[in-house]
Amino acid sequence: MNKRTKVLISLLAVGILTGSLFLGACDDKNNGEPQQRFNVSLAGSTTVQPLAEELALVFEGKNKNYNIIVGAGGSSVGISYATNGTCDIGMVSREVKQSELDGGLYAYIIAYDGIAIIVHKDLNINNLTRQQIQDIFSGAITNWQAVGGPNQTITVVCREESSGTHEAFVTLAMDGKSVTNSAILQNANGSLKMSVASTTGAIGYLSMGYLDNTVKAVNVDGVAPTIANVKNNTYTLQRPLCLVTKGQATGAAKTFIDFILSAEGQAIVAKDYIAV
Amino acid sequence: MISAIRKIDVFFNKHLVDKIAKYIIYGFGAVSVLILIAIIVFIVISGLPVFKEIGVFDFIFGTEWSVRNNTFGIFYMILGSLVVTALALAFSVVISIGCAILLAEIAPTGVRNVLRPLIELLAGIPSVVYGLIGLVILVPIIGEMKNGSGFSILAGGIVLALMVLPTIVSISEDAIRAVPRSYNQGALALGASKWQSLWHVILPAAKSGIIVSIILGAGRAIGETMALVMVIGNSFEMFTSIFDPARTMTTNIAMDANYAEGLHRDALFATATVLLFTILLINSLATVILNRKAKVNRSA
Repeated sequence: MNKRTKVLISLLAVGILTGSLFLGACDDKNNGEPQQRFNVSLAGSTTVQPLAEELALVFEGKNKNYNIIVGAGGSSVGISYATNGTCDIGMVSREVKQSELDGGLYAYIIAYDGIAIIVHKDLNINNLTRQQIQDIFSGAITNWQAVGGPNQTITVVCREESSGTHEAFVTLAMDGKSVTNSAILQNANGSLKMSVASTTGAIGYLSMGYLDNTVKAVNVDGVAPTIANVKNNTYTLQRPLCLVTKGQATGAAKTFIDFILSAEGQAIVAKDYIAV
Repeated sequence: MISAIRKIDVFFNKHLVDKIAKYIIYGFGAVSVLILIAIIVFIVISGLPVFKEIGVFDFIFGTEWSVRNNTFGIFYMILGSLVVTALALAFSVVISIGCAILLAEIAPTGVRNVLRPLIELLAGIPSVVYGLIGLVILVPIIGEMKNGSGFSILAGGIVLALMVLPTIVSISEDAIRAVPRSYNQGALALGASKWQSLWHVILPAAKSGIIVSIILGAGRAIGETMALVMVIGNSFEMFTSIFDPARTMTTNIAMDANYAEGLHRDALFATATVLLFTILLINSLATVILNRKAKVNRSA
């Protein structure tokens, strides 16, 4: 086979592929009336992200002409992107501050979420008091023996400062005290969970929606981090998950938020989080 | 194709075509240089407020980085970058140069044709994949060893060692290959063994090229980010051994970049400025060594 035939064949292959893509796209259009397309973009908290993605999937299934784009970045990113218009909706996994509302943002609470204190799954610790949690995360206690565990160095794993989970944790569990400088820092819920799962003697905090059997969630003051306990307020490490928009939501963004707050949307929320 | 060029020649003066082609190609060169200059200028200007407000000295030798207190000092991170780079080189230099010798001098063509693409493939693996492997395999093993957290300079050094290996191998292989065959033949003719010729003749002749390969490897290691973020721990405290976690200049930028505002954001650009000048320094060192070698060769 000479060079020219090879080139011809590969060109033909590329052509067929591109052509079929176009045909596929046309098929889609011909099925219904040509419709207006709506794009809604979200960014911010990695706690809200998986929930928003699941909601978007169901919403898009019902409304074919909507396209929901969900990004990450952390709660602070959600606030700043919504404020400066980089995205339509910001995701925030803590209470929205008064200063942020004064800046022109409008907040919708879409769910409540507990913050679980997680440890490596082989660690023989099932309960921690708030005082112990403060001592561990502030660096006052550095060995598990001090809280009745094995002779094992404690590795504190935290999120970076922009994280809503981090801010909520510092406010709720640490009474505003800062965490130790020697903490390992990770920049998303997922990588924090992976770090705790792969480090013996590790402790961290995690959105309850992310809990699975790779890590162990401990009781706080004897109360287990379960949806039921968050609901009846016995588990106190909890915060709202919010969506923020610049001014009240309008147009496509409002349609999506209305869906989330509807009975159908809240049923999806209730699978891993607490419905409002 | 050739007939097309002939047709053009009929219509245009041949020299005119040459001239136009030359300017177009100069244009391409200029674009790449301009982009480089634009990036450097942008980073330096964006970092300036920090150097003004905090001071160059306090920024570079400051030991506290706290967004809450609006204090930014990167001394521990500079040390982190340097130590993890040094460790990566310590792990990879001997293996890489051994590998380069194998490829350039010892291996038969068949082995070489298999080995070289494999090493090039090593350079093609995305850094996030290296990081993931480090996080899932290396970090737990090191954690087991010290009965604590495996996030450490050691983990970062090992991952980086793998990543700089292809750079050092390919450049030092070129350097060894560039030694004239007559050197080797002369040594052998004088009764030297293959090993003696390699150790006393070929390697000394290729020395500057090999050093350059190590320096460029260092440049690659110090700029690596994604793999490090995942295994080095990113903690703010000063490390006391290679088993401790650390924060490097690159991971500092990566951790904070997506939410930094105001002076904090400027401080990240200032970090990038320091990083950039470190890398420029490293690369110009390599150029200087290469140029000196070229002069020696010409005068010889």
